[in-house]
Amino acid sequence: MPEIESETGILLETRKLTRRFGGVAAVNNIDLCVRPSRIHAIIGPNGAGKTTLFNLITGMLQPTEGLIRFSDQDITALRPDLIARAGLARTFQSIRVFREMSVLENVLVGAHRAADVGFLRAFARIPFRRSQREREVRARALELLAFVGLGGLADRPAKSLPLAGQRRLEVARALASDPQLLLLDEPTAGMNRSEKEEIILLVRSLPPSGKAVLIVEHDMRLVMGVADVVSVINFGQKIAEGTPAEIQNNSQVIEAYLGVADD
Amino acid sequence: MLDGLLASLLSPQLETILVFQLILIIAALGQYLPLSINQLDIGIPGYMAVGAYSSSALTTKFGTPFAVALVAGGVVGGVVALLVDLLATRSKAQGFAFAIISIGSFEVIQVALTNWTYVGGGLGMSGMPQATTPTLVIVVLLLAIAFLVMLNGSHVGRAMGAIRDDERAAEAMGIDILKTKLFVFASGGCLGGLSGALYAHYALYIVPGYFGFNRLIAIQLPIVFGGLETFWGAIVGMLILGLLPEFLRFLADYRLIFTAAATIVIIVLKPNGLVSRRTVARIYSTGQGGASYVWSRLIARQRKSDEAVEISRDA
Repeated sequence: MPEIESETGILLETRKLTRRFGGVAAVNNIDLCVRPSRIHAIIGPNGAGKTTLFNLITGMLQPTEGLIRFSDQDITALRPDLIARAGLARTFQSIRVFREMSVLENVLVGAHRAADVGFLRAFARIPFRRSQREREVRARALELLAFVGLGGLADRPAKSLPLAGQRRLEVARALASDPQLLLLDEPTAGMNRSEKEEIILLVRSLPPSGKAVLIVEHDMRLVMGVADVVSVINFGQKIAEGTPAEIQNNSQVIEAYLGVADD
Repeated sequence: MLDGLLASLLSPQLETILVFQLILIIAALGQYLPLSINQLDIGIPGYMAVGAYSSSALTTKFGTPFAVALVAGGVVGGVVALLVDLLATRSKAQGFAFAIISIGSFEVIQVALTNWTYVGGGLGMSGMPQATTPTLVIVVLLLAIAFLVMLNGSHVGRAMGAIRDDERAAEAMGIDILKTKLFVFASGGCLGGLSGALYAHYALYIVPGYFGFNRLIAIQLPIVFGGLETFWGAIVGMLILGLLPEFLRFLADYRLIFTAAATIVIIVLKPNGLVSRRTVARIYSTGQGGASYVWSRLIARQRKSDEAVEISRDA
């Protein structure tokens, strides 16, 4: 689809992004372009550098070389919380919900960007009464919980949810910040087939308003159903990029990845 | 008025013990704050010491009004906590390393005060006006509780919970970790300083030795006993473990054994402490507070039997 190239702007761009651990280049010279309103998938075998790439983009790791731009802003050396505030939200491969907090509180933390009125104004209110802002944030959090299928569980402790529920909670929490770009790091890891399909359905129903999704996925078949663009990574390098159909017929990809996939 | 009421209700001895314990509860809340976000800052005796000494120096040597000295004590406590914890956080100390740094901080403060003759050195300091009244202590304690309640219900309180549960995930949610931590440390130190200032103007005689390891244990043990899930645990723990020995005087020397045994029993039976988050949430959500909770427990049995009748009808 060549018209994509010219029509829309670029939301996230990495240029020659490299991260070395000792002698190993976990991410090597990766150029990536994520456009608004697209679901962009990154696939690759285990250890290909997908999660490292995510950690570089979200500021949890510093790149050895290269540049990351997000909506016309250089975010290469920025702290993770500032990157999040710029409009980039993520989920984690190994689930990291706030276990001791309630399901609703988790989503409210996700909405920190909207709820943060500064330290002082947290106290400049009537006790036991929520501010206007706080009520809005709560209402939206409850909507999001309903959207991901966790309505009615708001007051349960997050740790009491089953694995699939915690994953949904992570998605709701990430969406709560109203991000321009949502990064999903293997959202179906550790799930059974029907749970995986539900998550994918959720992802497909996502981008309504110019939001883009960058998704790392292990399960090739699932990705082919949702992604607009697929980038294939192997040994830290991008070996192919294109529509799902193009990728499926790429001999290099078949050799590197599909030939050894067991799922 | 409240002072008169307390005096008529309690023996002078019991009143004194209660007031000292209430002053320590303010410090315990200060100690609870960093612990609640999983930061082992246990330097509260040091923050109490700087609060006590700075306020006493102001009232005795400069004739500053007590109200100003009290606030100053809180500010100094907060600033010292901020410095200590900034050092610890910047050096990426975690867990025990953090604890050691904070213990070191109050030991350093203690030694410095012992050798500083301007504030009396090891002999201590006296001559403070008797400015701390039971009412004032209760007011400050209520303000501290109000602060914590407001904190819990705000985005800052949620950010603290997130930091406690998973720092990196919290960061990914746009929470400024360092800023939030330093706010918590400073508030904790401030409560410690206020407690110290109140103590100094109630005891009217302070020595560096008071603000040492014993004070840490007297605060830390009840916090663990009461539980770290909510700040009410610290209050309940301090009240029980602080006042229990006074009602067990007939046990003479054995009462400390009793206290220790009670702590061990609680830790074995309820590892998370006496007061759970759930209990507090239930009390809060009952809306009308503790009284109606007690009431609902009283009628719970009746209700249960009613439900049993209904269920058997449905079946």
